Amino acid sequence: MPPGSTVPPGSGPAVLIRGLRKSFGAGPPAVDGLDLEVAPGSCFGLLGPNGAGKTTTIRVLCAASPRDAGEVRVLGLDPAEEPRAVKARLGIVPQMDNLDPDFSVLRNLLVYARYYRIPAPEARRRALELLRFVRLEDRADGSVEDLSGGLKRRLVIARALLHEPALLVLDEPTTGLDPQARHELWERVRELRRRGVTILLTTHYMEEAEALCDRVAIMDRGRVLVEGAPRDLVRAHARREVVEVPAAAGGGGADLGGPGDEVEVHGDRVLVYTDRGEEAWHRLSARFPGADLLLRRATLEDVFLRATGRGLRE
Amino acid sequence: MTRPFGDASALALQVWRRNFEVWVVTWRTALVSLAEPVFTFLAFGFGVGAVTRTVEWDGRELDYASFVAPGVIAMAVMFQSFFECLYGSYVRMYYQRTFDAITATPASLDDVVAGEALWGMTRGVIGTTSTLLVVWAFGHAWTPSVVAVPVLAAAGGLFFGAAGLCFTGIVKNIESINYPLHLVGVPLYLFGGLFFPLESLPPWAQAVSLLNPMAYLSTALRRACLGDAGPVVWLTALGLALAALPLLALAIRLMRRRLVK
Repeated sequence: MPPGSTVPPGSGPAVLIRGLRKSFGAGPPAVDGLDLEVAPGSCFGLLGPNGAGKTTTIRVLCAASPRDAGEVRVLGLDPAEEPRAVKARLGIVPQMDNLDPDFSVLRNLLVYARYYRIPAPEARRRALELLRFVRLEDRADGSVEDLSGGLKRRLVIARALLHEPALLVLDEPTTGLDPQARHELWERVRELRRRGVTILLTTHYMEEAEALCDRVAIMDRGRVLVEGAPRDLVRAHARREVVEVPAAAGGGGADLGGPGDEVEVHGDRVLVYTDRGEEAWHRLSARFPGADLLLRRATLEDVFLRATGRGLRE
Repeated sequence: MTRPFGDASALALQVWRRNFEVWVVTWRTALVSLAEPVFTFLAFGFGVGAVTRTVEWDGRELDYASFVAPGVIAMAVMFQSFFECLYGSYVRMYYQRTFDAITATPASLDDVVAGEALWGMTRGVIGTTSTLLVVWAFGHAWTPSVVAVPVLAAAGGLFFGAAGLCFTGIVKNIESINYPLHLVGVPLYLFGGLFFPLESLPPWAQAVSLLNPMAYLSTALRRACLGDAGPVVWLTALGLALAALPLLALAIRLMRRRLVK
């Protein structure tokens, strides 16, 4: 079956980053002492607002950027020392599609396979199999230009799997896709996970991270702020449930929480993070009759916003 | 890293092959770019040829069309390779992100730059060969020494391709390509002895043209087309090829500075 050459268990992490630093000219460093570890066979999500340093980190470990300091091992190799060996075992799905617009769908894969020195008959076999995997087999001879954004993404993923990489890197794989295309893509990523491919992805979308990742790291200003399994992070940093109270109804807000609850004011909403949501909701409903209260499950998005602050980013 | 061409490897040939296959797939537009030297030859051969029937060159009396035919071939060498490695490479680098796609594989940026230069060289040869067919059709350059033409085209194509890549490594945006194209490319061919003998220039301009690679290329091509493929012709090819190498090394460094951050 296609993609699936995994790092055998016990052979160390698929990605190991210790104290990574990287600056571009003057100004604050893009990555500032980052530590990260991705277990083989897992799906790891790197989350953070724009400018957090996600893409810079990805570029360093894909041997596209030199680092200033720190230790980086990808599948046991240092990308600065052995870029070709590292890239031979990585599948990279970049933020921006970079397919060859002049080639057909199939030809895009066949031409790309040559950079990995995959013999032509084998390349054709794998390409056709991967086109089935991403459900583009009936578009094989069609033009890349005629593909929608979602289909192009799927083709880029197929291209990244041609050489059966041990680690698949997805840099914001669903940015700009419609919900159908996004879910379709998630399904493919989950299928790859089932086959044992190690996946490292960056995303802005918290529901994407919750849907796909075993572990996530939320980063900002070049450092990891919190790291763990999505569910554990929500428990630890945003409790079980959230009651949203309109700030107009809730006055100052700080006194809205019960014992052990946490309260935050965000613009026109007061958010009460609690482990006993229904109880809090009843208490607050009694206190603000007629106010438009909302009781919902706490999500990774709450963790993200609490960790990185709610201020708007450019 | 002290090796002149960095870590460029045989994968450069796969970069070349990709470009070649795109050229084959998009043959219609490829053909259009071959029309330019044809028009130039017709315009100069018939138009200027009607005014200036003969030209004195290298101690010989030539009809103007015979004189200008190798000049048009020289123009094809330069424009096909220089333009390809400026505009074409820039589009692949910036708009199509082809360089990003290729460098995500075991191929390196040095492979990409080397492959692009080889492709520029090939464009020079293709442009020259098709122009030669037109020149032949009008009864010029029927001589065995014409075998030197594709060799000169390859050497000149590599030289101008590498030069184009150097500019691609530094131009700010696609509009800025006009600077090297019009301020470097155009004077090199207008004052390169393509359309009139350099001897008709004032002495100081003749001295300046000693620095013009097009002057050497057009002279060698003219000799080859006129049946004289002596050592000077082959030495010109060798000289252009050798001069291309430091340009390629420079292009690799400029492109790294631009893209590896």
